[in-house]
Amino acid sequence: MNDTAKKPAGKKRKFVTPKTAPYFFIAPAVLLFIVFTIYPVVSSLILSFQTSTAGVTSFAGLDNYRRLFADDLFYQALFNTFTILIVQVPIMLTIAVVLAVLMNSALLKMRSFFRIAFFMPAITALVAYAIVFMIMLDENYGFVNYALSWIGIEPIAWLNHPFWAKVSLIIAITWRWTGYNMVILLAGLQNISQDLYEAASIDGAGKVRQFFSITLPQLKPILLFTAVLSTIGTLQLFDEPFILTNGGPNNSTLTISLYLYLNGFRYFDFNYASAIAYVLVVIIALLSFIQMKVLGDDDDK
Amino acid sequence: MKIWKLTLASVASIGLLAACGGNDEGNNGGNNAGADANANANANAETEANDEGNNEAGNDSEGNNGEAADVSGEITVWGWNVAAASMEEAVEGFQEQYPDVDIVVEDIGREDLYDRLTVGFAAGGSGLPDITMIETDRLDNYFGEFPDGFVNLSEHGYDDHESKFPEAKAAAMKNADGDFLAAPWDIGPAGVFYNVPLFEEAGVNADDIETWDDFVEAGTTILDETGSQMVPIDISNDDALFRMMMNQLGTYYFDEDGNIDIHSDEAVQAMSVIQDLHAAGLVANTDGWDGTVTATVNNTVATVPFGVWYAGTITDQAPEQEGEWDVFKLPAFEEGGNRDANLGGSDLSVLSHTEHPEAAYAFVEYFTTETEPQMNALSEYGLFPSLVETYDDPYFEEEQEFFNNSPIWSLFADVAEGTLPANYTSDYARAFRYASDAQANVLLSETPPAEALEEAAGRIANETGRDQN
Repeated sequence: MNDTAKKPAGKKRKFVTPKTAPYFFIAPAVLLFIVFTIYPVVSSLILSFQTSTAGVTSFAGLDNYRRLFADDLFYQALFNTFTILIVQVPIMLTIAVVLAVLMNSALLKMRSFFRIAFFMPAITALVAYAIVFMIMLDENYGFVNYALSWIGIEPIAWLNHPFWAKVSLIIAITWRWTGYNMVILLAGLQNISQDLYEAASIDGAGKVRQFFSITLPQLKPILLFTAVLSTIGTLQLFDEPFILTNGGPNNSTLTISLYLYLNGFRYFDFNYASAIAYVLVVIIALLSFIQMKVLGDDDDK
Repeated sequence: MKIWKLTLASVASIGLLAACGGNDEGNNGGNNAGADANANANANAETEANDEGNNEAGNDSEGNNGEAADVSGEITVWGWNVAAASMEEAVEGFQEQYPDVDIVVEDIGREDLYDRLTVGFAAGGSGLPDITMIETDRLDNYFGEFPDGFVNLSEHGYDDHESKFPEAKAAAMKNADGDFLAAPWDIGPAGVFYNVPLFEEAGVNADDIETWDDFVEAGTTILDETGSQMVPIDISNDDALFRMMMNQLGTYYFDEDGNIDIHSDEAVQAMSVIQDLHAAGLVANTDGWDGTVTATVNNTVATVPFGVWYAGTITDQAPEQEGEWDVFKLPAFEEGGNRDANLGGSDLSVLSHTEHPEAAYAFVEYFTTETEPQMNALSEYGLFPSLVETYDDPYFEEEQEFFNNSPIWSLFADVAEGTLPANYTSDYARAFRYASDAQANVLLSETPPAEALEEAAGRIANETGRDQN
């Protein structure tokens, strides 16, 4: 008590000082992060170790995980997801790089128009886009088959054939995300110093040589970034198979996230769904780690 | 730094997933029109007025006006589409008996309603209405997972009404202990809608089609003569025809004890007929609900075997085809065999966290057991009642101009009364999906029906721990 009395008035304890102020500024974000991210993350981890029958929840140890590793549908989902990943991501990134280089070219007129046009799919309402694809890809009345009939190609069961359904998904995802990646790559391109290109021209390097010897190496960190993002995105692929194919036919487009959703929201097995979520997280973490190792991450030491 | 990036990426991805996997936040990914469009035909939705007027349901309440005075409160009801509208219209009649009860009907999209319901139950009842509509084949799913979420209607005396409904329908409303957790509302007696001009052009007489063999034969003739196929099937997503056939044969995904029966001889027989249809080129593989409707109205198919609710869809989607449609009962598997089956239907449940169980029960009882609201739902919205006494209404005998001047409602009433019970069970959703997979497997990959259904049975057994027959 004495101490307080002795303290000069100016040194009264304040909550907001220059030292504490930053914490107050970040508090709302941190609180939201805790409530909407940390809490669900922890909670679903706990869920994945429980089981629930007739509304009674009990601890189940590793049962859900054991079941998962013996579940042939999970392996099928894994297989489908990776098939789409391995085919789609390289195609999309290649197109994105090519587009980005074209967009960056000084020769191009109406540049912002094209940029916006290519970016548009990424911000298009998912439902609208999926329904348009559904209508276009319809086997009997769709525009795509109609157009193919002009050049004498038989109708293709785009959404009803195990192989073509995957192709349809790949086309849809590529349409939606190429522009997005293009914009990121474009930003990377603009950071490459013109001096390098000038020097190369003086040394007599052609455009193609410049692309492979300057553009690509310089773009590597950005490419890595888009590759990791796309990989994570594709591993979590949900919307397109959910709306376009419902995972069919015969589970040929069942993805891990769709299987997770079915278990949680269709079969009410939230515990099993949580286990799937955690296995998916581990897969994503591993893959991202490998990508960073393989593609190198030199400028980050 | 690397580790940081990695952790960040992982955390971000968990966050996304957790929202789906956890039962806390109720983020449900993308439910939307797309899903609705894709929603299989169970919805008794989309039915539109078929108002030949005549609504003399009369029958003033057997009113328990004594109790009515004490019952009060504000009651929220969830439903979708025309079902919500028909409940809304019943409020006035209800309030004549229970003036102190306010009813608020909220029209929520079908898939959205289910997701909200699931999340609400998982969260211990927060945000749920007092009364909700649930489709019959989903009831057991909810009863099984959230047994405490429902008011036991038997305790309020609903058992007294049991005899007013077809046996199969009433049986589906009960939990394992035989208590009513839902009140029966509409029902989906099945029939084959057929395109009269196509039949005439091919010289096929619908009355001659008594068995599925006849049906395949008739289909082949129609295909040869007119180029139209026989039935639309959304091969990889909906096994509606398979379910109707199983119901005809007195089987379903599970037997009455809850054992897996999807690979029974009867089920294999049903799937084999579908295989025959497909092999003869009579199946139009349609994409989702919209695809089915399109195939129906543009002569791609000559028949559509479906529940009664499809009548509303046809009248709504092809008003210019008035008089060109008619209905016959599902063909039997052998001459003189059972031709009755059910597809779809819905019910009302009172949810247990309600503050006014008496008032909520009063509305459910009024709406499901009085003829007036039920007849209104039929004549205005095409929702076919399960309340048997309504079938005596002259409306059922009326000839329907749209349907070739046939009294189709009485045909469906007849089907409703003869339908065998089906045990949907709490694992219906899984079984439904694996049955559709099996169907795709049989039709698209040419797997023998028995093998595909065995595989489905094995998968269901694996995931649910149920015994296989």
